[in-house]
Amino acid sequence: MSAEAIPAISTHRLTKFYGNRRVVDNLSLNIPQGSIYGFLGRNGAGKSTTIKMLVGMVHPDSGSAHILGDNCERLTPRTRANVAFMAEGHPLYVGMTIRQIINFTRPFYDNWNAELLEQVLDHFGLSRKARLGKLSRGQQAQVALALAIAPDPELLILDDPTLGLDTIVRRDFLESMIGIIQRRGRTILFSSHILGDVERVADRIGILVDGVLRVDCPAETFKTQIRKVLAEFGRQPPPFAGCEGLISSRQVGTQLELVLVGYGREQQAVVERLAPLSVEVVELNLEDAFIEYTRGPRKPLPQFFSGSQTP
Amino acid sequence: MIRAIAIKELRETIGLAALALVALAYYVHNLIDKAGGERVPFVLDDYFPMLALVQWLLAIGLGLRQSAWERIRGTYPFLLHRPASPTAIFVAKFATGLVQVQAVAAVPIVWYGVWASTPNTHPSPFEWSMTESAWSVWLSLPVAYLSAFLSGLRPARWWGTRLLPGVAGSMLFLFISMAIQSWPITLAASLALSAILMSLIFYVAKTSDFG
Repeated sequence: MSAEAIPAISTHRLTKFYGNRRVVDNLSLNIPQGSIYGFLGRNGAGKSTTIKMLVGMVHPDSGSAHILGDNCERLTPRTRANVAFMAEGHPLYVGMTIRQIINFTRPFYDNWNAELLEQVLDHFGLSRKARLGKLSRGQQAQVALALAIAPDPELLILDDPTLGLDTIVRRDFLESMIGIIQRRGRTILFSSHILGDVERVADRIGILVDGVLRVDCPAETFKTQIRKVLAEFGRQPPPFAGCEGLISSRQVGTQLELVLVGYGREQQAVVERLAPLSVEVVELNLEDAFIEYTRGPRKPLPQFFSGSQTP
Repeated sequence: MIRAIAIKELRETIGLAALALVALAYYVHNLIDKAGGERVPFVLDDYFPMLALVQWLLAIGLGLRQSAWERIRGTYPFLLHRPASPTAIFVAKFATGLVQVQAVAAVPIVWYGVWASTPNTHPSPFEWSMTESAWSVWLSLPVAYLSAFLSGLRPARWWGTRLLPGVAGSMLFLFISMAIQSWPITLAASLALSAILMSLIFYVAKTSDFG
């Protein structure tokens, strides 16, 4: 297999239990090199646990995971040098100054790009003498990002990099992040529960629901496939028995509100058989689509997979 | 790489080691001040248990500080993702701690011993063999340190069970430093127990989740 053909990240039936709770459930995933992959899910969906398994910080109970072709349970120093990892909350040694943490990190890497690091720190306006513990969370995230990209890694794994940042700082940080780290061939996996961030950045998304990967497709595909159908009855809506691709149905006053994956002829016919006064089909943005897809009582959800993915 | 970890560890623990050094120095200074009468250095004086207690506290404190603190602050993922083998990272960590513990703990023994061996400082006889008990404590300190390091490293549901290795290690420390009357046997026991504790540290580091 050529270097390009090896997926940047691949997992096979990856599973992790915490006590009796299955937090990651048979996760099979392939992320090709060069992708920017947004990893989504509600709090507790299993995103962070998956990421920690990918970088070998957490051991899976079953299944396997590989990054850059290397088994995640036994990552070699050479692979680690090619993988940047920003943990959730970007914890750093708060007793150190920026200069000290650079001096600590640099000796581990052969291809340390000091010039790039200095440029990034200058871009963020960070003094090298500043103590990390005295920086805001946003500035700490900026330092963590600068340290992550200095070794010029092939793969960046960022666990909720904008967690705890306010809206403006988050947007600035994301724009800078993409400007700095996006170069040809570099793969980025980042988790988030802020859909606007993902929409701006990711070319492909995966959605975890209760540890199960339910969606793995281009962001645009997911967005365009989910439709909200508002059927107006002018009276109490009749009971809805369901149809293929139904995510949720609820009654709002005299309206029946359906959320569906795809709204084709078959679904249209089912809705029209209820004889509504009017039917409105609403397109959703990624955030609304995500909310509709993941909220409400847990039940088997229609799944999205495309490309080389296997559910 | 090893140097970078050693500097980081020193930077994080130097305060604790300095505090212990000040306490030990203060106590030795007091012992020297009170010299005279029927007191015999290291044998019939107040050397034990106060100095041994401070040395034990230093070993336990540094061991816990170096392992548990990283977990509490959530910095293990940052450290362990550096491109080095986890074994090398942990060896660098506890080697730095051990050197500090042994260096600081040796100061009062050497200082007090040198003072006691200097003529006209006190009326009692002195031979360096009289320091054997003090050195036995010193030789046993790695057991206390490594068991505390293991306590801080291993996952546990609560602090009670987390501290089990530290408590067991401290009891072994007491036994081999006080109950065994021959320093070569103390040394052998300390080396054997330290080897076991290091193996356990490597095993826990390899099998534990850090996240």
